[in-house]
Amino acid sequence: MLKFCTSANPHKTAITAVHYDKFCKEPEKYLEKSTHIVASISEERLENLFNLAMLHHFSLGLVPLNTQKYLAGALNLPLNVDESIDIALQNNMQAIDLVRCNDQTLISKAVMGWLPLLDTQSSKKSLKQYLFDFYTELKKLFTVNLIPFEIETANGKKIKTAASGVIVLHHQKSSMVSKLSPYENSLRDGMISIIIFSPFSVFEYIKFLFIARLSMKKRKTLPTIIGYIRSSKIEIKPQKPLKADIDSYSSSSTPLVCEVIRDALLINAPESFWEDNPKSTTVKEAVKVDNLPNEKEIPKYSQKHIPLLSYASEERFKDLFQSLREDAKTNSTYLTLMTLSTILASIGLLLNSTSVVIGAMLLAPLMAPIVSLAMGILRGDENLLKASTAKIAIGVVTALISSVAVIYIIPLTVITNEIISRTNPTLLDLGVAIVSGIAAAYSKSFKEIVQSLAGVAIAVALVPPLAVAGIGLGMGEIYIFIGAFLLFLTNLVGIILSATFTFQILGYSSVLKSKKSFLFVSLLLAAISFPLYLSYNEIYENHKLSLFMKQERYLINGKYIIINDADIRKKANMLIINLHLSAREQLTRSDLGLLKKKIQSHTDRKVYIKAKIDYIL
Amino acid sequence: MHHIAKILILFTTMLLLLSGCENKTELKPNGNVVKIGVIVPLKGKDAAMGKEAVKGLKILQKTVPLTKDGTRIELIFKNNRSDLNTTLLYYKKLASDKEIKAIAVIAESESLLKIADIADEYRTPTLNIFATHPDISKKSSYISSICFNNIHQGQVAALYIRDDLLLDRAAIFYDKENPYSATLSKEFEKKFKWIEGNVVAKLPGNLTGSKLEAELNFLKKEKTDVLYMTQNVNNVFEVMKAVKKMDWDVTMMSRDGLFSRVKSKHKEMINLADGLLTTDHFSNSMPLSDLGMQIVEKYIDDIDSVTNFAALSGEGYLLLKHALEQCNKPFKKECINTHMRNVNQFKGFIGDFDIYEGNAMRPVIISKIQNGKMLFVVKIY
Repeated sequence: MLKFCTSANPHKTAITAVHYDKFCKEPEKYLEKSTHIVASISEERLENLFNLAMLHHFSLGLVPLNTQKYLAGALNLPLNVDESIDIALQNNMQAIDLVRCNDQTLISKAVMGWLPLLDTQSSKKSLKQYLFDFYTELKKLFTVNLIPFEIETANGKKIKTAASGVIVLHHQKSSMVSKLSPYENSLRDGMISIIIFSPFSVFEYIKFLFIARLSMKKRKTLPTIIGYIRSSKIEIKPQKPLKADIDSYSSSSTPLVCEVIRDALLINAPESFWEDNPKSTTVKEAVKVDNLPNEKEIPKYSQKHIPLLSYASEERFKDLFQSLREDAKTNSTYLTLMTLSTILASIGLLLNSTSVVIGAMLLAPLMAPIVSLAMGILRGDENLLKASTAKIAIGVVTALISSVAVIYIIPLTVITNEIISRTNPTLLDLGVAIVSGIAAAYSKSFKEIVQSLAGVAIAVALVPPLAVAGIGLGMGEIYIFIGAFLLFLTNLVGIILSATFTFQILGYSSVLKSKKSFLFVSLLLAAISFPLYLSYNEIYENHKLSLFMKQERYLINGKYIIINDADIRKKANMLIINLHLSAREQLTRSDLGLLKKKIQSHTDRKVYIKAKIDYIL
Repeated sequence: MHHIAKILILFTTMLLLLSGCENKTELKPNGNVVKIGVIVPLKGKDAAMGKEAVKGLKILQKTVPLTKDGTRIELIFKNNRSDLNTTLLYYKKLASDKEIKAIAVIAESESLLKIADIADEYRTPTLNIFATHPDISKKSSYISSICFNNIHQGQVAALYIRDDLLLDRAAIFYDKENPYSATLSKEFEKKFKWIEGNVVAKLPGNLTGSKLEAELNFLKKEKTDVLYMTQNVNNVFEVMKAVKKMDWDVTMMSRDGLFSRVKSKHKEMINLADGLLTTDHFSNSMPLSDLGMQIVEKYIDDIDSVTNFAALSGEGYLLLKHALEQCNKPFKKECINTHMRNVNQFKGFIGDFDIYEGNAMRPVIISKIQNGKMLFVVKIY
């Protein structure tokens, strides 16, 4: 129903009612008496009315139907009929732009391609229906393809990329989609905007959805999976034909050409709309496509469904890869630092000084090539792999030679607790290495937290086990060498594997993955896990024995002996037991011999006991 | 075939072969029977103790019914009705029976001391399961004790209180007429004083009512740190009730068998025992021997249901079996006696122990009674 403004009303306007069809047949007849039309009609009719308005230059007041939320949203109109009639009848008309896409009018947005869980229509649904739709959309996530697109702007700029979908936006101020870009769009700036979606992985898309759904305010930067183009005319040509849904009620097919017709309609809208859409003639064309795959990458991305985890092009993370390549190069600084840190660690270990050993950990440059190796494995980058492996191997040999040299130079051959504690690696050490590897890869990925690598180096402590292995070699104690070197290998493999995985999660893998490298590291991990498991079991057994001993008191030659603490470690086939005893009466060698005999009865291994005795007075 | 598959098949085959190497030949009965007499109170004041002992013996008999050569061990139970004379009567009867190769006696120190007087005359190996009076094994060369004696128990209690708990003022409650209580108290007192502890008072164990309250008030005033109680269970609980009534936070320790008696005979009093320390042979939460673990896993649903009486009796059965195995048919009594009186590093149900000249050298377990359970604290040996 059209209302023709010729009769009197509270707005002091004469209103005449006329049916839409009659008006369309003879618009000139009705427009003789009036220049303003108030309409409350369906979308299809609305489009025709817009055409007539442009042709006959009459102004419009729109009263959205209950189902036309997008229209209300685009023009800031209330859904309450009385309120929107009030606005429609006001004498406050101004010109707005109209967008035509393939000769169809676009009021809010046009969508093409695959955008699961993003392009959902909000309508009243039962919970069951909602869950079913959600499940269907979720399934779609795993079938998303990046399709090659060619996009051309009014200024003739051509962009070739790959995307899962594109949304053309005219104006939709409060919608979720409009919040995705930091750029303003207006119905009075002579521009249309498009948002191009290129998720590199399902994981990244889900992350994006979370951010998009939870974000209350307009973003300050573009999310990593989207690109943005603003122009007065945009032509979108996907490689294969796609259906384009326009304002959710009509559709077209690609290629889609959208063009702005400046000041095409005179309409009534609330004051807030005019404030949000100031007239502008200075808005320039904008093309922000850095996040999208470039022309070279299109074939890689468009071959198959997007992977679960991301892959990245070297071009996109130039700085990081450059830094990793630098880290993989062996130079004199590395060798000097490796030598110095090992010497420092060896002295600290021989002096049983934790602080000196920590100093050596901070000085050690071994973490950087390990992180590079992890990236090399992930991307199957042979050059990076070879360079970092060589650097690590040279570092290991340097460390072993340095610590052996320390043993020959310094006449200290004490096996301190700092040394012993690095000869029994367990699955727990592997756990530390894995967490440290995650932290290392994470720190390396973000410049702002790269300084945290020092903390990671302390946590995992790569050089001290190597120094202990060297000390073992120097002393001719093969069990020390084996135990400490196993600890080093544990750290090495744990860091490599978890850093590789972390880089993958963070989206640094290439399209062509190196399965062989992955397999090799996994096999190495499996191989070291077995001795580590045995070692863990042994430590667990020792711990049990220690607890057991602490719950025992000995009555030897009538003397009551209390075990306050028992620290048990394995050395070759022996158990070294450090006891902290309390007794009232003085203990003789004979008493201690009997004590040893009783303790020996708890284990099949030969025991070697060091006792510290406190006397009760 | 892939190399990995070949390796897997080889590895699996090796595992199967190795698992087949384990010697699992089951012992078969040879048709012979060896009889052991068991004097046990199944009626009267000690019936609860007797029933638990029978339970322990039967579980172990079920677990290992045969000696190494396949001879079946038969237990001949005689109910002494908690009576001294009946005990003596059955002892004489069983010892005179040529088919009975050894006798296990489950009775208190008083009965065992009387048996010790006549045991040498009957020359039958006799195993004392519970009675801890130190003179029992001394008096006769035919009695071996599987339990520790009161010298050891009293000394250990004193040492634990002094050196572990670092308490130095003790009061002793004891029953002068009861040889068990008297010796235990004496040994405790002697050791406690030796290690510079102070015995504030020695009090009769049967004090009740106002007299008991007055004595406790005196002890509190004297800043007594610990009450050591060796009297009978009912009197121990009288003291505990009075202490609770006074709201006096004092350490209390009692003797072996107390928890098992409460559990099997005086369940209503179990909550009163909260916080009480005991010296005993066994604790429900203590680490058991490998054999003990196997038995618990196979035959016992709840380890908390096992009493000291059952555990020690089970261990007694194992010792008898061991001695029988050293003296295969004709199971000469002299031989059995020798192997019962001297044992080295014997692997029992509770743990390892030695027997030297009939006296068991075994750990004393200190436990704390809490929420009706016996919580293991330390093992002293």
